[in-house]
Amino acid sequence: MIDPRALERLMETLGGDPADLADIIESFLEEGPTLLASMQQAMAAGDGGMLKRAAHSLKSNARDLGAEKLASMCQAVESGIKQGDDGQEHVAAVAAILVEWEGVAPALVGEMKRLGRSA
Amino acid sequence: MTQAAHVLIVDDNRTSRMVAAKALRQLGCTSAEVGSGEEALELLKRASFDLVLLDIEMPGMDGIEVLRQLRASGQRLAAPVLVISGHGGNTDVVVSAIELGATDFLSKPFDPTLFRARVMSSIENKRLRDAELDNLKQIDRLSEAAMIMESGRFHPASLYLDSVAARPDAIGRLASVFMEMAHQVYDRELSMQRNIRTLNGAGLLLLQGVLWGLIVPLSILIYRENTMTLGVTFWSNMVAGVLCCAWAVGSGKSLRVSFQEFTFLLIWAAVFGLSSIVLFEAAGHVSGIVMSIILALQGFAVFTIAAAMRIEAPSLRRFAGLGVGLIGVLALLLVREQVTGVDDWMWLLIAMLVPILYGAIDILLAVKHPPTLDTIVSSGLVLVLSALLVLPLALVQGHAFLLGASLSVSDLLVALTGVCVGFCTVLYIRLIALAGAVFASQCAYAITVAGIAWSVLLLNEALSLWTGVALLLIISGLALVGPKREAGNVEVEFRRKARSMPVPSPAE
Repeated sequence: MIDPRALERLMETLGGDPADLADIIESFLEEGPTLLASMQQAMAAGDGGMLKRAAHSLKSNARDLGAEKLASMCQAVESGIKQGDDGQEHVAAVAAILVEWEGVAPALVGEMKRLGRSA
Repeated sequence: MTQAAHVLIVDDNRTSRMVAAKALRQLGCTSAEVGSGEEALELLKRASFDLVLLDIEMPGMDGIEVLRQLRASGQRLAAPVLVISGHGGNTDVVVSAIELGATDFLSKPFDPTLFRARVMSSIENKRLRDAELDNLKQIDRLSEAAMIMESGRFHPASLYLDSVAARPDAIGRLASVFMEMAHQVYDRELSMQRNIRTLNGAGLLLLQGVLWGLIVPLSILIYRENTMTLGVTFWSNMVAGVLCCAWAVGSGKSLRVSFQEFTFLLIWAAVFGLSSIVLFEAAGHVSGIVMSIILALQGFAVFTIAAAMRIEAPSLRRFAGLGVGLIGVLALLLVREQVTGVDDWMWLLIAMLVPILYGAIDILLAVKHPPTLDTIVSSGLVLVLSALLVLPLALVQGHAFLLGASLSVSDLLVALTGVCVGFCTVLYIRLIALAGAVFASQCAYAITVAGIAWSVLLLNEALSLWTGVALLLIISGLALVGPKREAGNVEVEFRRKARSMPVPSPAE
């Protein structure tokens, strides 16, 4: 679910302090549900642009934190949306992303604990 | 790095901003964060940064648009921009970002080594460029200074090179050598200017002496024919005034003056009128040589007033010069008094009023003569005014007469005196403007010498050996006092030498 090499790389980028990495994970765990909610909102409103942006953001953070499958799913949605699309053909993909998040989130909580931070 | 680099992070994603901020802190940088392109443009207008990390994909104004606007506003040069693209992002977008002025790009997720290398080298380049820009600015100031010098008049302080010259680098050395040379040119030109001023001043002064010296024997000759001194004063000043006014109008100048200028002229006219009356009256009681000698006291009067009012710098040398001159005057008086020339000591004292009044006029002219007032106009008006001020006195005392009514010798002499007075007044204002009141007052010595010479020539008065010795003393005194010293801040002219290139001979 989580690629440990990605986390190592991020930790190195941040300078090696586990607390910093924990901060980043914490921020993502807070921001993630907001991004998922806006994806659902975009679907309901038929707003392809909004869906694309939320998918892009989620992809970017997921990749930073080694949630490679989640990132790929988001990227597929992001690149599948063209100018003026209402995003309705991605209903199934968005639902799958929500399911994937349910797995990623606890895994990241586990990483935080491992880094010495309580969720 | 001397000071922590300050980086602006532009990203709509909070977690991404946090990653960048922590990664930058790790490299020793401080950072500011904004969540949109609009905020970034706004902040870049107000604050300066060493680097901008700019996310390309943002809702609203994206990174490309930010770069486009920065480029349009000219701020692009202020800080390098590293654009951040998603993993496997569109290469075309990165290329157009670089075409719009971005320094380089970073792709997410950041590779720690690449991140460090690109951030640090961008900051390093920026600092190098800043240093280069600073060098160029200093060189600009140097070339500005050179242009100031070349364009003509300059003062070393007006070159504003002190801060450049204080730099420890090569530009600083260049600036300090340049400053040194500018100072040398300045000193050389200044002393040349002084010499020219002294020469011109001396020429004017001798001419003034010869003309004014003539007035003394003339007034004695007039007194022999005509004792109505108030009438004589009126006519000589009126002739002088009308002459100057005609001269002024003839050369296209306006005789119109402001109320303030008129007040100044009135005071001057009153003092001058009084001095004229005393001169013409004393002429009947004191010999030409003695009168001429008394006039030399003017130098003492002016120098004392000028030193007391701190108009000009008193120096030991100038005091010594004055002392030598005065000893000469006293010696002359002692020698002369054993012989003839003064029928009453009272008249000697009254005659001394003349140089004192002249001295007061010197100071008045040096301090108050409006620079906008033309010298010929002011001479003409002051002479006419002084004549008009004397007129009521002449009428009351029965001294009024009509000049030219009888075509007598005395009328001719009065007219000639008027011509001399007119010329002398104009010359005198010019002399004060050129060389200062103290130097100008030295013309009293020239008047004395010339007056004695004229007295010998026109009045057949005798000149003793002692008189000659005393005159030498007076002239050495004059040399010691010298013209006025400037208070500093005088600009000098920089003249470039025309250099001819040596033509190499074909044999070499």
